[in-house]
Amino acid sequence: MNGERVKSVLLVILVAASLVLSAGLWLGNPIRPVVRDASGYLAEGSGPAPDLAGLLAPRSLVVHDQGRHFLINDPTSRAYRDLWSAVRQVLSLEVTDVLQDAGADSAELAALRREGTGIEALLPVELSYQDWLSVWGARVKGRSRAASSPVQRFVLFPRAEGQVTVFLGGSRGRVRAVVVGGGDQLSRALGQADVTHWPAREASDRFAILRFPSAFYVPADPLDLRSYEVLGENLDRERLAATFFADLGVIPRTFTRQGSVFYTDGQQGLLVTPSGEVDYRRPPVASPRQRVSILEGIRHANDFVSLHGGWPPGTRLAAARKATPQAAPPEGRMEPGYRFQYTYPLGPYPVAGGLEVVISSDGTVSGYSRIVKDPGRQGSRQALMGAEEALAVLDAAVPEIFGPERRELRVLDIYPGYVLTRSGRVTLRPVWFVEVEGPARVAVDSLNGRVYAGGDAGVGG
Amino acid sequence: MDWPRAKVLLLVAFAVLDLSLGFLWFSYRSERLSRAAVPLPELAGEVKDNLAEAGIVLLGGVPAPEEIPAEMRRLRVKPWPPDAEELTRAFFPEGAQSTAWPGSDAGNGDPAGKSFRHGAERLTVLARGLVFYERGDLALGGGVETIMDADVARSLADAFLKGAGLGSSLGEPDLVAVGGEALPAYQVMYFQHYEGWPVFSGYTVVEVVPGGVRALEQLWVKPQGFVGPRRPVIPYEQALVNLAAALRADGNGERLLVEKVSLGYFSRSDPSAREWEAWPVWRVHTRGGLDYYVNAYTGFLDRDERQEEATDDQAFD
Repeated sequence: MNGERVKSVLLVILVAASLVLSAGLWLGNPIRPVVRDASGYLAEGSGPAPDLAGLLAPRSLVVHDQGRHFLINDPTSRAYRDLWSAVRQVLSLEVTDVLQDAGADSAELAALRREGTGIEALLPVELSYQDWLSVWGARVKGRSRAASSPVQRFVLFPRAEGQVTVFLGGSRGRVRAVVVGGGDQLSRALGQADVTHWPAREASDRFAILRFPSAFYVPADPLDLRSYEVLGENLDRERLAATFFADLGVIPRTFTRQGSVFYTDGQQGLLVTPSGEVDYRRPPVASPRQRVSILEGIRHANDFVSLHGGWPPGTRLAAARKATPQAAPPEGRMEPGYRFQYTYPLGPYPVAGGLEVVISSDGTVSGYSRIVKDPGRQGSRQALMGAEEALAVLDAAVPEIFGPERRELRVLDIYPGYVLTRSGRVTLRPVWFVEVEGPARVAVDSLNGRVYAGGDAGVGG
Repeated sequence: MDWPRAKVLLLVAFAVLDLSLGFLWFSYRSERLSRAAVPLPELAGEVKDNLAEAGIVLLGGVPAPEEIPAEMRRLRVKPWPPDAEELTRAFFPEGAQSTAWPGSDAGNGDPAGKSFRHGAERLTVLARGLVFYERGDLALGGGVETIMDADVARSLADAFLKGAGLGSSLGEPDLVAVGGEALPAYQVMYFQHYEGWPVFSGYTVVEVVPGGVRALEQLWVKPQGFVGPRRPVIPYEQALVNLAAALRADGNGERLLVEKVSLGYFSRSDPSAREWEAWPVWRVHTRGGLDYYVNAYTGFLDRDERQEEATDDQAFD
């Protein structure tokens, strides 16, 4: 019995010692290794990265049916999903012929649009034909002369003998054409898709300054977009900050009178507002001899957002612009990086100005802004201006925005969406986005005709 | 259940666990001490040699090893706008003429403030906490030709601050000669202290010329307490080496003449902030009055915006 009592006492002592040592390690150890949270932080309501194909999906599909046109800009609709799936499958087939460079928006293409049956996919960025296929897990097969053609628009028309003519449209309006198989498959998809909800017409070309190098289409029916007050994103500020700094314990905070918190280690700075807006900056890294490709840059940006807040559902890449560094490195000239602008949806329509990543030429992130809002109180119904009316507003505003010497401005696309604006409260305003040469993007307020350009509400190049 | 056997198994398991935890605990403690290692007095000569190789000349004034903690926390501070009326009564007991202005609402616009005049003296108090005092009849290079040395300057500054009720929480000052041989003048720089630590963000600089105090500039902060976890601080030699490397990267390869190295807290005052945090720094005070602040956590260099221009042959050699 004495032996058992000794063992019991010893056991109690060892258990108590383990508790004390554990507490000492967890609570009192001053150099417990602290590492940046490698798993990242997902904000409430956000998720891990969508796949690249989803992120780079077209903002709209245009279906041509023998003189009738339909503009599908709801990526959640069945018609969009089925048609886009069919288009990708056809594009992944072997190229059997490469046609002559069609020049700027060839006459053949214009005729097909007016009278033929086919489909156009308007993409958010310009990548090479080969890069687009790699995004979908495929590669250019067969004749590969057109593999490096820049593409921001795929236009497909089935032709005889089960083939498809694919027009590869670049952002500058030049068009190249290839021939692939899959004509029956595409025809079947076009025949089965219910697109009648999205009637469209070709935008007329009657403006003083605006020019249209390529036909584009606008909704024929009035749209129902309202303005919204917005609710902020619910962020765990410290957990988010821990994903930026290796050791948050050594990072001093500044608490502003407005309730924001600023973290900085002297090299990088992070601002988080009480309404969940995030702004991060660090000096761009100089790599004069190295510049990542746009696709590599997109991947770097994707990885970054995945770790620092995550992705609101339905986020897509809206635009990729060149980003010239603000300050040159000591060793001289710096290659420009990229500015990636994303949208997340409000219903079928994109919200711009909410997510942006700037990367240096070597792929490191030098800027990140995140304004993710949930729609709150809805504004009342008001008459919205149509697309052509918005173009007329822009036409009149070109001298003010682009300079009085500007005599011509090429318009590449127009589509509806929302911008975040600040006028006291933050609201989501319905706008017409207009993609113009540069490339750049402006927005025309659908309610009051105000034009947003540049950094104003997250539009512009 | 066979309790005796179970007890034996538990004893063995917890003994192994405690040995592992103990090993971890002691290894962390050893690493903590080695990371915060400071030279013993008998190694001071070796330290000086090493620093000389990096282009740093220690003229004196490094902290004793027992004064340097292994870890420190951050310090939270608030703005501390002075009571302009109380200051005026201290500076001008006979009264003064006052002028006030509202300031600008623009982001970097002029702050609101008040100015008080009494003869050739003027006191300006800005809303964000800055205090300026100037005596127009004691221009640098003018006034009574009194022979003045650093001790005299210090005494004059101390007496002036005491008379204005400003000296109680300020520690030992640094003195920088700013005049020439014929007409000496000194800047006497004091820092606030909090629980024994200098807070370099809160300062009072007194300019003393023959005849008295010519000017004063003051910005104080209100410490709120230490926050955050304890984190190790780098040794001062590492701070000096990092400083020399940073200056060389800026194109300054000259030798650095260091008069004093001290550990304290530093932050940039932010008039738009409600509160902010100061971090531990090594302050490197050089001959000629240049001050450098090296982050004691990270070793990065911060620059103090208010540092004086060094004369060509004083801070660097």
